[in-house]
Amino acid sequence: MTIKDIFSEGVAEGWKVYSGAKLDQDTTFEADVAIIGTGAGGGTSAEILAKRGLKVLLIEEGALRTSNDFNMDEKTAYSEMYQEGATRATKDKAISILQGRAVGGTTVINWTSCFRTPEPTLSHWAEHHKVVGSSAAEMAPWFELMEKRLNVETWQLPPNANNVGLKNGCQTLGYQWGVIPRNVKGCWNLGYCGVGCPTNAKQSMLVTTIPGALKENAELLYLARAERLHIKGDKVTELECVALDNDLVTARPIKIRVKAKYFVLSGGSINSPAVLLRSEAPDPFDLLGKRTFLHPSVITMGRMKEKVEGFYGAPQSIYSDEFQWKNEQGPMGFKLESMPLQPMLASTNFRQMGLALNESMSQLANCQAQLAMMRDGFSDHSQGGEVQLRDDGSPVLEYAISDYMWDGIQRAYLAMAEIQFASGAQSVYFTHSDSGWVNSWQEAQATIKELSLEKYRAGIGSAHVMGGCKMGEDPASSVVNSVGEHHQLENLSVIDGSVFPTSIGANPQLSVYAFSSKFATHLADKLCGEGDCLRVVNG
Amino acid sequence: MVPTKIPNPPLLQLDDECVDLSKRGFMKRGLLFSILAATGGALSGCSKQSFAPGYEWLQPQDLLLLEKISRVILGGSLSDAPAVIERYLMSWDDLLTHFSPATQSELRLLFDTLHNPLLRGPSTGIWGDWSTVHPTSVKRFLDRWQNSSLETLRIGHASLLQLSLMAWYCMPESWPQVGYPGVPYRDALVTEPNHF
Repeated sequence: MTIKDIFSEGVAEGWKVYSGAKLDQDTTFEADVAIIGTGAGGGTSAEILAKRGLKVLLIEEGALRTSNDFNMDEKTAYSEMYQEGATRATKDKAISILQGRAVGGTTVINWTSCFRTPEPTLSHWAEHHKVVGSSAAEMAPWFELMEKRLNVETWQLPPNANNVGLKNGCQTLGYQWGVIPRNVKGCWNLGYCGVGCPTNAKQSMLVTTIPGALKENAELLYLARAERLHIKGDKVTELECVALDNDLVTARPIKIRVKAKYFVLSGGSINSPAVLLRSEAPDPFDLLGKRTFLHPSVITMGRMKEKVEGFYGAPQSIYSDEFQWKNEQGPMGFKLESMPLQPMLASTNFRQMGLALNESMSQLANCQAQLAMMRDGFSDHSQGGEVQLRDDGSPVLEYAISDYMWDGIQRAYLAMAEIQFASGAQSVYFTHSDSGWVNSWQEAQATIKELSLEKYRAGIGSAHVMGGCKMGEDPASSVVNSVGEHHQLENLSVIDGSVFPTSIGANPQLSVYAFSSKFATHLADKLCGEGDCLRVVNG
Repeated sequence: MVPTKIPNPPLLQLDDECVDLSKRGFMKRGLLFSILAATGGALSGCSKQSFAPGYEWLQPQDLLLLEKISRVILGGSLSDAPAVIERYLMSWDDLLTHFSPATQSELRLLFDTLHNPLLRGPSTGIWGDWSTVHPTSVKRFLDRWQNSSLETLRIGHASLLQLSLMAWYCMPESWPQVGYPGVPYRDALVTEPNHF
């Protein structure tokens, strides 16, 4: 059976798709609404706005890669579809950051886990960050809308052995666990979500809202990086972009200008603040780029007697929130999940060399992985990082790991080791330079006390970047209001995960979809009245 | 600002204090990369933009250096076969060309430090040419960087480790040893890329 390549067919049918690598002269694009970024926020917004009759232009710095390109090859995927060729990291390189860069954004390479924004998170935003209109009840219709649009359903097939470990360990210990809802349709249960779904089962923006928008005459320009918004007074007059070469990195000497009545910034965390910083956008209270959160994550590998083959099967199907909400303001909470173990990604879980590395990797097929994602941003001891611009204008996130977080990380190691031994692991390894394989829960507890809580020695990663253009009703403490409208710029909204005032406390994609659909619908109503727009005349 | 080429590495601020070129002086002041950046690689003359034949990032002198370092990091898993080694180095090259310009500059600086005869010794403990270096000396240098009081060297170690792992374990040649059979449903799902 052949998998249909949606984009090839769409372009043949007349979708307007342009590549910055193919433009042969300076070009000006015009639209009613220009959307910077084609990820969870951009895709969602584009479809909603285009369906209301607005002329939408989507602008994406990444490449267009679709199912024909998704051959489950890790090197190609990590090089081509991840920010900075999968080497994005915090400024001091203590935390590696996996974030997407492609048409469809991070949704093309994420692991399909969909959770509604937890109620404690929504309450926290209302109480501490002056966000209005986003109680669980008020957000319910938006979650429902996007769950339906993206076929989000609790995973029905048996979890793979990699995920079963988490379930078994939690059951043995009486810890809370649950099955993860996933945005998939007709999933083959392969496990290669992180390198581009080869069957189009993953309901990423690439196969849902972006085609939806293009069918409504939206246009897509990719390999074009948004450099600066031109601002006069309180209005954005145009966007200046630079065309990128097919190597995905080199800027071409081609200038692209985008004129639009309204601009939507959906570059995601780090990238959206970067556009505003490069544009020297008004920021009277010095908030831009600050309060950027990562769900910093640590990993343990359990060695099981039976084969696990964690490189096959839906990558994340079981979670545990046992340790997530124990304390609102006390020690940092964390969510537990598993992660896929294809060899290139899995190898980076071992901070070992030579014989020790060989021994660990030789047992990969028997490894069960656990991941603890720290819930940052809820305490005064966890205020997140700050986006800065390098000399070449590219962004970098400065994020310091506090003692409060190290305490959380240490407790995460303990929780994961306990659960893995309870699930039957023969030995456990911590992603830490000083770790070997420990053979019992007692030995693990002693080892964890000795593991130095130091960057570079402890391996820490992030697959969720949130915040940096905080939402809220008070301009003194937020960049945009509770529906994403910029406080100082009249014709700009930020519609992506950079609006979140704290980390989510769950995998963020459904939160981004829900809030984006709410913001985009509000914007469509504002630009068109309650009905559809006639084409809004640029003026 | 519209960048039209990969920018030169940013010049870092030099200490106002006198630079002490003795081993201890270097290690204390942590000016390693600063000096190289400030002199524009003039001490080694190694930062020419001339790639090894067939490569798009690695320079000729990088190849042997990388092979020696990788043998220690990857241990016995890294094949001896010259054709496989070449594919492994190409794998590095492929990864490197996709990094951001800023990261590419940092790694070029890292390699140039390892080539620079004046900087290599104090930072790695290796004073001779890479062609004569024994694996035990390489291991000692990697351990030294991993445990260094200088953040730059700890970052350097972490980068060399992570990139070696990524470059090797994406290769099918590495998979039999780790029990990974390869991708499923190859006939149905591995398709000619679009080349959009």
